[in-house]
Amino acid sequence: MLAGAAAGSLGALLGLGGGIFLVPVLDHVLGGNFSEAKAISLIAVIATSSFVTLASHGRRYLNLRLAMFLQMFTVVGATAANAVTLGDRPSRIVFAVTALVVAVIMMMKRHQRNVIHDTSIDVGQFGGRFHDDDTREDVAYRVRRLPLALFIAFVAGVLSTLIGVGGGVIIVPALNTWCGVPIRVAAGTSALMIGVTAVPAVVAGYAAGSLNQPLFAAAGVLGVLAGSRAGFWIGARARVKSLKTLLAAVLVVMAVRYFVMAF
Amino acid sequence: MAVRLLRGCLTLSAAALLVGLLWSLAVARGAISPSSYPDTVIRAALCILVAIPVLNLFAVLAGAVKKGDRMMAAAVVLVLVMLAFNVVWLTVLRPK
Repeated sequence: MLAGAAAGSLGALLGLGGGIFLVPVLDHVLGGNFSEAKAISLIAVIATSSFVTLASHGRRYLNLRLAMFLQMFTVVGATAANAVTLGDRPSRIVFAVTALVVAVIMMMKRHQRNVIHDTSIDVGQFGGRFHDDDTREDVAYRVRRLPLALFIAFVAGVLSTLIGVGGGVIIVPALNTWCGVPIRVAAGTSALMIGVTAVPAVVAGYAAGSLNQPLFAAAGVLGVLAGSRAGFWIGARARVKSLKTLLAAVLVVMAVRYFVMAF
Repeated sequence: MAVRLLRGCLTLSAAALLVGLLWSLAVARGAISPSSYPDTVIRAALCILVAIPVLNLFAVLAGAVKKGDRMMAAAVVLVLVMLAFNVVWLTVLRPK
């Protein structure tokens, strides 16, 4: 339940699935049953995603149009990766290097906020407007380098199938650093996407009989829902710079974890 | 309307999970006689939870059709088709 709460907080704050906390804890609690731990973690991802995208606070930052177009490429990437056979080691190294590079770039650009104070501007097909908690005023943003965003969504889908990480850990920093999307909007948009991406794997896990201990799933999901509330509370009070530093720290932890798993 | 309905599903799922969890703990402590109902309640709650993202996509599709936003509607339909393909691939077609 505590691991679920940590995962839920991360989901509400940064748009990540939180599997980095849940999978190892569940793996330990369930006595090394990795497939069951992964199945429960994916259900927890759906709980986080549903809570964030349905809560009125989360919907303020959700860019539905951008989410659907990115989702299209994420699902295509996840489907295409079914046909690819890449060893565990190369995929883990690729992911670790990517996470590390993104973390460094994110820290270098942590002062970049991607908001336009003149809300009367044309925000284009994928941009939007929202009330910024940091400056307490309405702001606008435009999405830049859309083809890059779509490519990143595709890569996130491929990685989610190959190594079982949610796409959020790639999509949120990339949208924020390269595509002009404010961090809270990137997190809200990613929260919707990770839930949709997790559905086929959960159904497959259930069909394969990986969910034999629903009691742990119940505890995990209830923890996630409580944690998501806490994440909203913290998120409303946290500065954008702090959120970016936290996201970079999570990326470094993940990179180290995947390097260790690879060697 | 759709969002309220989905919020209702999420609340129902959370409530059922809590009931199932407490029931299971009561059974484990011997306070209630053993039964398979808590397990069934939890599994039903998880099914509702897993359906929420898909129902949300249908709600987005309905909204896009209502607004006449063809590009958005096409994107959502493609996502739904690819999800369905992924589920069929992972559960039926994938070589064991």
